[in-house]
Amino acid sequence: MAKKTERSAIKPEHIRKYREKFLGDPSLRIAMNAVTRGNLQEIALNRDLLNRNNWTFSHEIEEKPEISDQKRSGTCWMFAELNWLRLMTMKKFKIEKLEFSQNHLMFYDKLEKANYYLEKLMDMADRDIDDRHVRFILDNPTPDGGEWHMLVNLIKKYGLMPKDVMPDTWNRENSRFINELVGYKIREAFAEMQRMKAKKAGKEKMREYKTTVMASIFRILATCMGVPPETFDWSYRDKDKTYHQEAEITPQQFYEKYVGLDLDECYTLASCPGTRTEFGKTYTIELFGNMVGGIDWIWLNLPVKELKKIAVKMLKKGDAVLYGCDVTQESHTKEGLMATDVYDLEMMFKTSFDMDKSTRLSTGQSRLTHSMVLTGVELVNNKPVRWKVENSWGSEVGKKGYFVMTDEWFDAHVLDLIVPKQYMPEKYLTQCKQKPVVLPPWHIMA
Amino acid sequence: MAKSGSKGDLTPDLLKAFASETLSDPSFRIAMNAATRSNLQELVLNREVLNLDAFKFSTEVENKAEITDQKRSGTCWMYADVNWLRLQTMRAFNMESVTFSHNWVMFFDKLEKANLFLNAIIDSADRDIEDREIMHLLHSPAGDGGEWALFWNVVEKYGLVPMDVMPDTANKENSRYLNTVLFYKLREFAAELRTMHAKGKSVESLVRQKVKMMEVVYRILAIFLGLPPESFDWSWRDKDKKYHQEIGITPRQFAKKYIPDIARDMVCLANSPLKRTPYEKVYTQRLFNNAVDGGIWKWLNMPMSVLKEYALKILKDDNHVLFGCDVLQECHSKMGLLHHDVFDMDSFFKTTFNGDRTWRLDYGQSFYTHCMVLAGVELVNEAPVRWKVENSWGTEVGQKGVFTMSDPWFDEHMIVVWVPRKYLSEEHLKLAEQEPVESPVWFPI
Repeated sequence: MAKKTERSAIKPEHIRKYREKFLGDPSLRIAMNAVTRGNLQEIALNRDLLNRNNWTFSHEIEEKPEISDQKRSGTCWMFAELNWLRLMTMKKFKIEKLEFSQNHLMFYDKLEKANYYLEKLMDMADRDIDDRHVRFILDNPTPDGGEWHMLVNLIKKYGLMPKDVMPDTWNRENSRFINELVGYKIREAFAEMQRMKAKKAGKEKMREYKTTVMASIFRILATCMGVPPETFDWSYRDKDKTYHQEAEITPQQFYEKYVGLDLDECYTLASCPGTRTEFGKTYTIELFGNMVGGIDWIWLNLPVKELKKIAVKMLKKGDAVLYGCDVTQESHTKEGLMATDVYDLEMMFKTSFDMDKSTRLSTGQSRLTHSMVLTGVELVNNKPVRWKVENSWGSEVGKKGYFVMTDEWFDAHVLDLIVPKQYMPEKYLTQCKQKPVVLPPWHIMA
Repeated sequence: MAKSGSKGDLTPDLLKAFASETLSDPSFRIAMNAATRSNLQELVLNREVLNLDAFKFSTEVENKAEITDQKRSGTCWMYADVNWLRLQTMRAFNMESVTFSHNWVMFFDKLEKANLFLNAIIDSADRDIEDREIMHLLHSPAGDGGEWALFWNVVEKYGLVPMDVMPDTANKENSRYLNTVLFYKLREFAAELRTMHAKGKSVESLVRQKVKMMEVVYRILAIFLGLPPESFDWSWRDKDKKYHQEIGITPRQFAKKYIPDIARDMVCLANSPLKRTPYEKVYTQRLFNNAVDGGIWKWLNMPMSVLKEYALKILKDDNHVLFGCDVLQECHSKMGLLHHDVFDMDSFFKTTFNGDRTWRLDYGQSFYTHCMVLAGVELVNEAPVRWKVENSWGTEVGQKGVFTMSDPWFDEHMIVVWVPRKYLSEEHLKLAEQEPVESPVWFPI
């Protein structure tokens, strides 16, 4: 033990040497004086990049909706997906201004997730409280996060509605309290299920109990977010000022008529390099669902250049692209910049920040954190150099809510695209039919 | 009542049943109209708790020092530790006020945590990277959290300095960017060390590489927090206006001179009612530390009544009590209320929120989240009814930064109390000297 401490401790001579070297480099003093007084993102922002940054794009989709704002909730996926779908509706029906109700879908997402996790926990009721899967659920039993398959599940069961008929609530904008309350009930229920299981209660009995828990959770969610209407009246004026009216339409009918995209024919192409995730194979993640009886998220893993080819193809045809990435890496929110050289950190700290994608992902430095929509691309000699991004952080950031992403950033930090069938090469369609490899719940793509 | 589907799915009938049950209750509509428009914490705040005259205390420790503000960093423990310690120094030296540099403690805490992390990576190099403990380490390789034991490790090894000679920096106040840059490098180093191991490099060469890596860590910390002084001049006036001066004193000399003995021997009593942690035993948490050559955080697990007895004993002796709790439970920050009845949730949602302490800790509902200082108590017939708390969230919350804690809240959400050795009974001292049992890194306390 003593020997190990001897080997591992920081010794005074180390500190002396580190200090001397620090003092020997005048540029470090400049860095220290600046950084101790201010915001690193501003201090290290690459001035060259600001100078050469350009907001024009050779290919841009025509629809320019108002930027949405997810506020203090982690529901970027739902925002991005609904933003993507609304572009289709705006195009088809010549509507200038439209937003779908996130409150409606978030209500059902929270409700279905609670039921999903309670069912999973019911199956784990004989496990130790310290079991890694049990702990994984109990640590965050009502995650805001999600992916495409969750929206598919929700729309298929509950349809879609315009924001005008179910606007945002305080708790949609601040998901903290909902998560605390529902999380409390789920943890409480798991303790009861463990007691029931210990007394050899059957599945029937436990499910009956679960139904009473779901009734309380329904009430909590209904109190915090309101009760979604079963039918609604809705009207709009199109670009040519023609008035259109819907009376007593259901959310399911609304989706069919106004979006109509075949949700079963959209595929996820991901690019997650790593020793565990080979290219050309499909993957899915345990406990990353939102609905009992719903679909799982299955993604085909491919080199990032393949994803890019498809994104270019879609934009050239005037279709926007829904994608997921790690937005926490190398981005400047206020300026709306996503560029691998956005910060001059190397020079400032005299050390490199150049881990490759696979190392970043395996060490937890990077993970899937955000979804957005690509609405334009700048092609030079038919090669993309930058991309236009519609974000969901309101219009106060970036350029009225839009962000610009360099092509290098795409390579480094884009993790997946959602692709409708017509844009899928035959080869990938076949590969998507493989039985997916199941990854653990703590995988970085969840 | 309608039933779930065969797989446990929510059927349309079941959803209808939920909706009609909810909608038929008129109190639901009142609650919904309010809750969809504003902050729940305000809506369910129990008016009767506000009516209590809750900020008067029969026993109070006099302290003229200002309330501190940790701002956007997770270093509550450092603030609570400094708040507790400064009173000991002020008294011993007849000072009106003094405070120590959080920035200094943070520098060496992070430096030592980074070293601990890299050592743990070397020691676990042949384990899978998705191993539960390794993923836990990689998630937050040198995080903000800590405890008195970690504070004391820094003081013992590096000394301490007054706030005046290493004032707070932008990054002490907002540790986000510091952690972003530091974690990046530590994760990169972890990958590098694991690759070296996979290539068959010896532990010695990994350790040599680690010493080089630590230079980068030192540089990053110095740029964010400033370079800690090796020696400094410092002067102060005592309560009788007498001037005192220190010239060229080192941080270690300063700590030796200005930290009274009471702080040098502190014992941590905790209350963990979990089955896995029987009472009267000592526990420690794996890898929750900073200096590998320092002490470890150990706690003697005792019933809550024992923690409370000591808290009372210390306050009656006119001294502050350093403690840790879960401040996320039943707390209204703006009003400074830590009260067991602060929110009237049950009537608002027509469901109970009454899980007990064991359940809360075991099922992830509650964990150790915050450190503060007890500065007074209200006694009725010799029994405590509420406690005065000095927090480190600035003076805009509570009553000029002071919080009040109901006695049942103490029972429910208090987690540890630090007791200077001189207050401890022989029996408890003896218990505290047992070899600690190690809990896994993800333990809630």
